[in-house]
Amino acid sequence: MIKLITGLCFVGSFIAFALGTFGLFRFPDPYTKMHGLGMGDTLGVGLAGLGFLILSPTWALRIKLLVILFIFWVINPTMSHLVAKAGLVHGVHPVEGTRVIKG
Amino acid sequence: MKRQQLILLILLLGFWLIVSETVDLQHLAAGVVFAGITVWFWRNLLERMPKWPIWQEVFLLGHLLATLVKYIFGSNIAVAKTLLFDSPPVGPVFVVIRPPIESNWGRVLLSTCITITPGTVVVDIDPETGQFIVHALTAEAAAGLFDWQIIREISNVESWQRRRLESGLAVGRSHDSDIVRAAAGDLGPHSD
Repeated sequence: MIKLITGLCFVGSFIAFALGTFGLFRFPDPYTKMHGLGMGDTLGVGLAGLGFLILSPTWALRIKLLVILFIFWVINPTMSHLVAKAGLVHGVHPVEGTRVIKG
Repeated sequence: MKRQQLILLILLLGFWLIVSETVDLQHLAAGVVFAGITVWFWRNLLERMPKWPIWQEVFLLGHLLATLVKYIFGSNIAVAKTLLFDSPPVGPVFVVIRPPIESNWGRVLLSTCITITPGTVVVDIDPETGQFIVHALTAEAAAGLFDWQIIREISNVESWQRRRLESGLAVGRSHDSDIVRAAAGDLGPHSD
């Protein structure tokens, strides 16, 4: 049963990373490419982490994995924000047809 | 040593012992020394940290985390659908929102939640007005931000903290009232 659950986690993780990589090629500009890669960074890493958590033999290892996941999920959005802001500041144009909505 | 510094020292020491997986005199001594040096080095930063949350706030933050995981799953499916089935694949939008979040930690938390959810990335935040510029993959993802549950939940935690700080100021029982006043100022005027 554990093997089945972890297997599903790793397959799900692989699909998320594969879709993210596909998005890198299919989406047109750097801003939209980041959204595609976000799938691998969240669901891909999360499912892989869950699989490793279940397979871990000791609690110390599980806590270390949780710390790694936490740090990853803090750093990942910070870097995405920095890349997007750097793109906008340095004049990287979004794809034609990008709209602006004010709330 | 202040209470906040002591708690941080214990947390760092605990983290060190978990990472090293060994509890003997050598590891304990090294942990205490380096945790102490770290706490001493960041002593000025500690005063600007948010107050330690109480149980109600921890519960609300836990609920926020569960809600965020739900949104991350939903957004991943939405982005995957857009990627695989839409043609042209995107209709991107820059959306400008002004959520009712007053504190710096609340804005950082909201910004992290928006960006970690696939389909939306925070490009910029105006610290004066609290205005967010968000890049969204589709108009639907952008529209969802205007009445996002996560915004309400962060605002809820802020309200709890504001009430706690104000009651602490009113009865004058805080030992570090300057810091409390600074934190209360950071939270801005009462809005509820």
